[in-house]
Amino acid sequence: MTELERRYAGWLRLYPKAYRRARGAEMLAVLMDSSPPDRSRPQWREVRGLILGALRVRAGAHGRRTVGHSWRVSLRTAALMLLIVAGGDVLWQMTRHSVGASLVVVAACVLAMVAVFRGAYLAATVLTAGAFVLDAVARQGIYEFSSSWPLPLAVVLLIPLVGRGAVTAPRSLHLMLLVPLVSVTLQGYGTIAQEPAFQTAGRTVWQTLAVAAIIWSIVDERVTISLGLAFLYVVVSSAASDLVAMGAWSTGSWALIDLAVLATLPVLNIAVGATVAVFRARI
Amino acid sequence: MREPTYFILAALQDEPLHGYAIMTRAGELSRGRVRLATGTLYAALDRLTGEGYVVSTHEEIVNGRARRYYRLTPDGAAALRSEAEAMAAAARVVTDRTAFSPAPRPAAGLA
Repeated sequence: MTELERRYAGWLRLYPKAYRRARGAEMLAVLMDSSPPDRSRPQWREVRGLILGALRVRAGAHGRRTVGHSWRVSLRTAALMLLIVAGGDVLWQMTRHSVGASLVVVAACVLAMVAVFRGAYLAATVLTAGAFVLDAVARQGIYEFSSSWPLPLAVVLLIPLVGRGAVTAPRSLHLMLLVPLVSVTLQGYGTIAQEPAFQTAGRTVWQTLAVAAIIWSIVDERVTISLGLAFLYVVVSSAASDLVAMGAWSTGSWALIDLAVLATLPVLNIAVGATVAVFRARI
Repeated sequence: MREPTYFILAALQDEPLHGYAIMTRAGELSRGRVRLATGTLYAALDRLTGEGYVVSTHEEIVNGRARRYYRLTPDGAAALRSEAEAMAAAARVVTDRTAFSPAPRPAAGLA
């Protein structure tokens, strides 16, 4: 084995073992055939192609998919993320409300997630809507009511899935569920420990990942759309809080500017992801 | 259809080819416009195989290197032809422009 062959074989190790078993030998042959005989270092354009190809295979994003399928997977993932946010938020604030009602809301969120995983979107929508109503009643106050926006937003995202077949998402997309989990944990701990830094850290997690997701759209645009859709709840919650705190944005345009800045990232995520989805749908 | 995909299918019109030959032929047919990297070629072959446009036929070992051959399926050939016809129709909008042009107006003052 030549030095070049060994180096290309190293880059091919980025692909999963099963893929390498099926394609590795012929890919290595093509890489060697297309290299000048005196070359000892891999060409950058080949390395770039191998990195991107391997990432797509590992992310389960290497096949062709329709625009509709990309959107359905994104809606499903975003709804799951919002159910985690809502359930987590209720858990952290349980001591401030009726414990019984809070437990029922959390149970409804968990059941709704199970329904989503099983492709029972109608049941998931009903459970989420029920959790929202119960949560709103238990919280008994419009200001706090504004922090339970993940649930109605999850209902809005689930409705387009109702009546369609179950969509399956690659395992890598399920890793996205860690985002709300980390975010809610940080925010919840911040609320209980009276540590504002942790509360803002939760939002920073979302924002940082939303920026990273724009770059990740070259690998899997569904991640980008999902994060953008789920992150919308922060925008809606802020709008509702501002509305209540200031009375129909009476202090004027600053609140609107803040809101516009906050909305930029999720809107950008959705726009970039949607554009890439159209491109990826072409054979 | 993406341009690299079009030229990969076009490369397979006449006979089954292995990966490197597809790459070379696609480059020739596109007059150098399509320069496929290996990762890109196999991502495209994955998509085309998934769609049933291309199938692998046989494998052989040449100079100790594995070669798998791919051929166009009837569905692939139909998709390629349909794309070519759409592009030809789009090209005719420009190349046959004189057929649609209004008759030249007489210059002012000559009537």
